[in-house]
Amino acid sequence: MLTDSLPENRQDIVFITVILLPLIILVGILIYLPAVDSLIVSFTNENLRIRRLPKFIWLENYSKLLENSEFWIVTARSLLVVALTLPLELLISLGLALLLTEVFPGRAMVRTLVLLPWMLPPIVNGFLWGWLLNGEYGALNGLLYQLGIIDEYVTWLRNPDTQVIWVAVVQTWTRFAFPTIILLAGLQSIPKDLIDAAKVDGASSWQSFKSIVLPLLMPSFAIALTIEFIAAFQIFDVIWTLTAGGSAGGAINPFTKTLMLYNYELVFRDLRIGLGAALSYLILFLSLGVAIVFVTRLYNQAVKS
Amino acid sequence: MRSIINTLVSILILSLIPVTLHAEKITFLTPSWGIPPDKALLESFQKESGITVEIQSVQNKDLFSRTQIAAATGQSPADVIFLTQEAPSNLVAIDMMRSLNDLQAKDPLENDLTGQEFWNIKGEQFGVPVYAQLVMMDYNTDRLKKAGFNSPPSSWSELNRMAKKLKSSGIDKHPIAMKASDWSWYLMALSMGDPMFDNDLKPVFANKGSKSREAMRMLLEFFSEELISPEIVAGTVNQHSIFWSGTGTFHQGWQGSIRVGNNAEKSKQAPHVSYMVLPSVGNTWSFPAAIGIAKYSKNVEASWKFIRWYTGKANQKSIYKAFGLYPSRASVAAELNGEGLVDGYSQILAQSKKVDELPRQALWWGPFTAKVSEQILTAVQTGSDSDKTVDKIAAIWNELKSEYE
Repeated sequence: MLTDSLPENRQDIVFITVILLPLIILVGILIYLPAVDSLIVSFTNENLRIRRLPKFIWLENYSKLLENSEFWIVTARSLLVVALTLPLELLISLGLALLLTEVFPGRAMVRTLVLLPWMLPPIVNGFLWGWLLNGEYGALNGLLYQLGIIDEYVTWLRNPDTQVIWVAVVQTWTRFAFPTIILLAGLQSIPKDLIDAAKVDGASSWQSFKSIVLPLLMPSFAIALTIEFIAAFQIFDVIWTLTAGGSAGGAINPFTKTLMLYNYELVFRDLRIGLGAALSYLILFLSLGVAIVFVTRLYNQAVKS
Repeated sequence: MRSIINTLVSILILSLIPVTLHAEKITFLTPSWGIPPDKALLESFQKESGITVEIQSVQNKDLFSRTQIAAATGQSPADVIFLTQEAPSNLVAIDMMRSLNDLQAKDPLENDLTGQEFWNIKGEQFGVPVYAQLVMMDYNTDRLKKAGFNSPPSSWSELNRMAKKLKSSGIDKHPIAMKASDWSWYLMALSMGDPMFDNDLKPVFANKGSKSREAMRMLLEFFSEELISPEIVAGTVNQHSIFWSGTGTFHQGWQGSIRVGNNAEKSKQAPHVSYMVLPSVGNTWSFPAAIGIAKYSKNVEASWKFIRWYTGKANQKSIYKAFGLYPSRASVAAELNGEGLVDGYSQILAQSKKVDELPRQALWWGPFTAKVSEQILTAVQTGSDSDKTVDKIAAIWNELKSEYE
């Protein structure tokens, strides 16, 4: 064999290269090449509605977006969705993970059921909730009316402020299973001896949770937080199906327009490809910035401690 | 070695059999209502022509984006594409469709095919009309009588008064079934007699004291007084589904909408739905549909054969019977009327004499009209001033016009 004659560490390099090369080529072609291409497009005035050769305008698209009040409004709304979704989602996930780590009859079935909303496409969840919340014949009104909680049917999605809250609720419903799995895995990796030892030393359940479980769970928590931040910040499907409207003319509900919907509007409805590509990069930088903060601050610190 | 070659040759021959059996296969991209409703009819076309038609049904907005993105990369999203009234701006004007002039020269279309000019841009024909629709209004005659009115309103202020009476007397909680969108405003403004745009495409709707301003004020009032159901604002229902579910006395419909409204299987308003010629001046605009060939289609001949079948008598009749969409061929309409199948024929005829088209072939019409809907929805939700809303819409039009013209 050719590799037999090479020093051991060079053999390793050759082996790793041979194994990784097809993957690198594939990822390069399928991900990085289009990404570089769209970066180039973001520096042009490409607009499919206008039959002209795209011209390089360099950072003009970026400055146009940053000077546009609509960009800041939709960014703030995206952050609001994150602020409403993340605490709700992580609280539910933590509670469920703690519950599912315990041994009880039917645990396997409950674990499977927890996964169900996550297994459904977000579009299905969006439509499903749209029907549940319908003011004329929605199941939520029916239930609350029969329980005597409401006197008359409520149009839940009528008010723009409540629309955003419902978006957060449906996003939580759609996504909570994923952080639950991550936290459950994290919980199961905590040595039981530590908790038993704390019990022997007279620690209460709350003290064990606060001083042992929570610190050891922080790396998993940081991962869940990062992934769910990106999912909520880049929310699209749930809003599209629940409140976006999307009439034949392509109108988008301005009260739940977040960054990804704004991006859809620029690229697919208005065909401003250059401007839309620039917005995609701004979304990427914003997501990346927050993800780096989460990972460096939370994950690395938690691992160190 | 010989056996290996024999095996390979056999595999090659076998793999070619399906290709020769179905020598021609075309794809047809359409919204749900463009799917040929009579499956047997489609089957017989496929059998006789040897053309297999693969139907891809998508939402209208997805149809646009799919076609646009595919054409931008020099590809065809499908061979044949169903063109709705937004298509002139969203697809045709931006060079996504193939001119049909050469095909028409070889195989001329029937003389009774109406509305061809809508799909003709600078002398090039891009679509063959499928149906010829007008935006119309229908109403529940029974409820109006219960409220003490014997005839439909002749002006918008009269309609407003009637709606308020219907609501206050408890006959109808939300008597008007219209959407918080572009169409409702266009309908009211044109009907009040405002042309909205002049020949130079200047937005005369923004003129001081224009009828369009009055239309916007009244439309916003319909929402603030809940003469229109808040469920429509929530976006979970549209004007048609809410009307047919039993809410509403006045409904923004189309040529053929009373066919659905009076069908007891589909509508709780049956059998009391009747057309009204639009109030005041009574102008409306059309929303026809056509069928055309994508710019980069490689199956042009087969696609043309399919288009000829699709716009033929039998399929147009089955489309009318299934969806109430009024045929583009005058002879088919006359035949349907002769069979007693066209409800409200006299009102349709009266309304068709009052048409004032909107400039939908303008390159920027697509994004403009979407923005109009967003502005109206914003005004409805925030209680904004109607004049300010019209001014904003005019500013959007002028900005887009200067960018694209």
